[in-house]
Amino acid sequence: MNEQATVSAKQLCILLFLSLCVDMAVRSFTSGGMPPAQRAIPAAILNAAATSLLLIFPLRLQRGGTGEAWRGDALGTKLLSFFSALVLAAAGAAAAIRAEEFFRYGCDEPMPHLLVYTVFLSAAFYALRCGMESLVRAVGIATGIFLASMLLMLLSNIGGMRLFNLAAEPFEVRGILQTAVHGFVLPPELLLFFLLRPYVDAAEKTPVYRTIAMLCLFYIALSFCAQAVLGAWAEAQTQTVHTLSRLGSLSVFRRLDALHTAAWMLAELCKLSALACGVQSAVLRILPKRLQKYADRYAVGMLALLIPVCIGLGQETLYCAFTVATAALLAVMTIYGHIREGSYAKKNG
Amino acid sequence: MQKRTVKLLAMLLIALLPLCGCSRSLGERAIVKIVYLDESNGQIEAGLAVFTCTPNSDTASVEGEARIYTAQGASIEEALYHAERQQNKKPFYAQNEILLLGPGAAADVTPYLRHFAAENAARPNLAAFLTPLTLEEFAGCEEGIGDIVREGERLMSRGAQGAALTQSLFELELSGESGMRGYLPVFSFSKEEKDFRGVRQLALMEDGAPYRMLEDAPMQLFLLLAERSNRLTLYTQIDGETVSFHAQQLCLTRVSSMAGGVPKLTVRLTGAVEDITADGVPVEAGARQNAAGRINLYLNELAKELNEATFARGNDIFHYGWWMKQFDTASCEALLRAGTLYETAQIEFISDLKPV
Amino acid sequence: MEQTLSTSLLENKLAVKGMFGTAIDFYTKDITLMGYPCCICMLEGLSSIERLWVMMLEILSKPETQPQTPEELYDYILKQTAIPLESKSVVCLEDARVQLTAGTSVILIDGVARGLVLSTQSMQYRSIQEPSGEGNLRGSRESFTEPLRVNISLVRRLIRTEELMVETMTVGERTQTEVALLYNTKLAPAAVLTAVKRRLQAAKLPFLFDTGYLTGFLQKSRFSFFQSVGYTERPDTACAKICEGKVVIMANGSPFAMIVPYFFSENFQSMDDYSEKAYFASIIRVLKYTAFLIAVMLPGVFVSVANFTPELFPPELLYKVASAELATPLPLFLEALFVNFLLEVVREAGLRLPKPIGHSVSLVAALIVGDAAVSAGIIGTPIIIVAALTAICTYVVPSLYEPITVLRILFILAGGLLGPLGIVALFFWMLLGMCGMNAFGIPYMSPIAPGSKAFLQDGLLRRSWRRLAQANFSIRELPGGETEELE
Repeated sequence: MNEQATVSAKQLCILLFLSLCVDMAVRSFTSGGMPPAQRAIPAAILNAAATSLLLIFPLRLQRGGTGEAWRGDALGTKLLSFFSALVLAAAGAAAAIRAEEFFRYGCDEPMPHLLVYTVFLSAAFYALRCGMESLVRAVGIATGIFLASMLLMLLSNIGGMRLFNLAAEPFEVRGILQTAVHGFVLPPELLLFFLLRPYVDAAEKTPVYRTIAMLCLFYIALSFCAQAVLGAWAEAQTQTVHTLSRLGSLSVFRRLDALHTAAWMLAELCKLSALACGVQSAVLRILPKRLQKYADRYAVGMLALLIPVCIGLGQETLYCAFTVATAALLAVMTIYGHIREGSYAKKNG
Repeated sequence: MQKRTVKLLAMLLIALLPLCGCSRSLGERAIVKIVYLDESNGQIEAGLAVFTCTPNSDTASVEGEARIYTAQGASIEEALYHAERQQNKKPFYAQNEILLLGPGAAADVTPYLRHFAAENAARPNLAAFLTPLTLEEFAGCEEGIGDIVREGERLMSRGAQGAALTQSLFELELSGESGMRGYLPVFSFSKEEKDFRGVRQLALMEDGAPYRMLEDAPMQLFLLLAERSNRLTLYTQIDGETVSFHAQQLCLTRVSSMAGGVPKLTVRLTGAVEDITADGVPVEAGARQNAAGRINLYLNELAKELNEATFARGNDIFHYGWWMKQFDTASCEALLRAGTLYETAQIEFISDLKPV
Repeated sequence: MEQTLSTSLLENKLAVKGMFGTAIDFYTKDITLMGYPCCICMLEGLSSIERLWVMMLEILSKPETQPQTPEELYDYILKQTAIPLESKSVVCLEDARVQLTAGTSVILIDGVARGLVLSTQSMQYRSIQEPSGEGNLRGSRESFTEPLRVNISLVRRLIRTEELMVETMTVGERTQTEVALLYNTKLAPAAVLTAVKRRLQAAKLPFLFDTGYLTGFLQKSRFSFFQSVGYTERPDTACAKICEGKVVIMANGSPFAMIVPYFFSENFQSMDDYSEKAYFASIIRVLKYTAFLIAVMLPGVFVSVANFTPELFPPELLYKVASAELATPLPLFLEALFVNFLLEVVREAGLRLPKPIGHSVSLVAALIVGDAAVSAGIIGTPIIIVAALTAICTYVVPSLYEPITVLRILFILAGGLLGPLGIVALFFWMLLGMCGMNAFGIPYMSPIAPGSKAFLQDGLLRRSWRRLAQANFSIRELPGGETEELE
């Protein structure tokens, strides 16, 4: 391990995994119900494959290359850094909004919005103060708790699974493709991954494809469970997984949804903090040296400022914007990286 | 810098102390255990069974005491709102798992169920029951409410005879243009003895209204076919004899096929039948095979009646359509769209119980 | 500049006497050894006069030997007698101070600018007893005592290889307390060792009476509820840690040895784990982790659930909690704070009181809190039960008592004010704080976070000795991260 690297590749991938997993549990309120498993599962596989294909070039560039020029430093210019910071801050704001809406949705006693956002931002700020290392270690534990919650939820719903709830529809390629296209999102967490890559030893391989495969498997398991328990009801539910958590019971404890919600909120805090870390990382490249020690405040400040903006924009618009922005930034980064690698190789003969 | 952060966070926490009053203590909540809805003279009637507790710091002998609050309104929301306002605590519905629908509501239960089936309106495992009680009779049942709640909770797990008699909201067929289809359990009540007898009947529902009541043997076979139970304990008349028997760990297998564009499903019931008696006398070993054969024939006939009462009417409670689709989804879908699946499909039930 | 001894006995005597002044326990005796004037110096109480005179008799019993010069007398006593002498002689006043306060006697000879050091130590100290905490069913029953040399010998008895290294230094301007570092030369990482020595040398303490004083100097300056140094009273535990590559620090006068670096998971380990069957030890470990979580979070979670998410309670429990809450004057979370405060007061009183009246405290506490307060409706039974369960769980992991106590109160506040969001946020904060700590460059949460197979081998679970023996764990295998820690 070199002196720069403080995080392992596995930890970074776990961070990516948790950040994307939690979106399956805490769904956006405008995304509609879960499509039937018969369509959702092949669509998920297609989307996972498409995302993996799109990441081939950036990942290859990061791993390969002749020198140190681009490897580990995805953001070469301040402009790229600025846009990355903006996208990540917006993603963080969107995550905070969704988490707050979900928390209010599941609570009998809703809390003031301002208070909830203050708690979220304070947690993110503290995470920035503790540093990237602390965050990825905490994320490892939070992932364990999240997966334990999911496992508990699946186990507690086993008794309610019915084979005949699985929709039996004719196999339609068109329907699957439509579902895949409708559900395809390039999350800004992918951008975060490349931004945080410098923290990892350059020689260490990052199991990104495996992470995407695990996400796909996770979604398949959730989709199957939701369909098997809820049947047609799953399509009518916005928070399908939350409904599952409300149904499951273990012995005398019949209403465990509050427990699951707590585990998911922890995961949301981790995700928000990770995105804040990404913003800080990008902001550090923009700020002059004398202001760099305040990068964490700027990062949290950006998040706070973008929250009301994102509330106004709406979740669907945001997710479309994220997909486009992430794709554009990844493309620009890749092209820019290629150019730099080329010039570096020329310089070194 | 780290110390400052900690201090700031500590100050934030202390600054939240004035928010002490923001949460609602448990004592300020009215714990609603049962919601009763009925319709009478164009008005919706609502009843809430609220459990309260007498203050006691030593909780050894504390039990919930029921109070019933009733009100009327032009709509379900209004009626519930007025019922909640009969007492001064905030209603707490998170522990409410029982919805009782009175005789007036039974005319069309669909709007009532759809009201609670809206996302997050109620817990998804809310179980709906029909009841012959009117609102006044329900209001007079404060002493027996505890029994209803306990019975309801027992039924929602595996109740008597190992059957889960209830259906949660998410299991009900509410999405069609016509009203609710399926079945609902009926909470029996003896008006003379003011005694709740649990669930002894099931109501088959179509267009939101019951069209047939099942009890005793048909009810047990119904639950078996609906995979709510895996045992039969019957006491019934077969060929003029009073026959009783016990069968558990029963297994249903379904084999679907297609013949000339007509889907066919064979449902086979296998398992062991024991403790066979005829007219109160245990059947001897040599005669058990014959007795089992008669039981099988009886069950075949009963299943046929149930299929005519359900599947043939398009009320596919036993999900035969799903099994048929496993064989040939496209054809079955086409028949379903044409509205002829239930007419043309053939269901053959074969009971193949063997004596122990 | 240190004052060296001169060849004049008178000058040396006056210098040594000047050092200790008119201290009543400072003993000197002028004698003549084989015709040469000498002076014996010792501190009574630390040295034994009887042993001294036995040694003198040994010297005087060889009348046929007659050294020609004071130097010859010096050499004769040093090399040709059977008297137990220290290998290092006294050459300056500072040496004389060190030796005299260590319990030896110093013989000054007229004409020799050095002093002989006789091993006449006979100081009173507490004998080796069973450890006051860290009880075990099996394994050694010995614990450290106050004298450093005795403690070193206890370790040396158990690790009989040349790999065990003992280095000493002094800390404390006024007490000049001897501090020993014990480590395995092959397993202890050099960087960690260097860092420990550097920090100890940089520790400017006026006095040192316990190893605990050094904690602040050995840890990074950032505030944390947890500490990355551990303590043990048991020689076998100290040896086990040395065999993992850790450094054990002992101070004269303290029966607690300090272990650096120390990780969170070690708080849940005990020597019994390694004597019992692996499956049982694993169960006990899981129990301890669960007890820790209960001790920290249960009151806060209870308060949060009762006020914000009461649907979690089974119905019968719900009625009881509601009934108790209605009957008592305080809100639930203030009740929780009050009961926890009371428990801490009782615990502290029981600790400080003399033993004969110690159990009166528990009787009074039980009667007042357990009975009268509940009957009077001041406190509800559910909160008492929660507090009692929490207290019992706290004692399962006594080494984490301080952070558990403080965190518990914070969780009660968080749960009472902010409900589940507060609990989750505080848990996240606590997690970050713990994960952000490094113990001499190694993550404090190792091997939990970052995860490694060691967590399942000897962390949460304990594999059988056949497996553990193959793994041969040392701290070199744990991921090192923050290099700044070592600067």
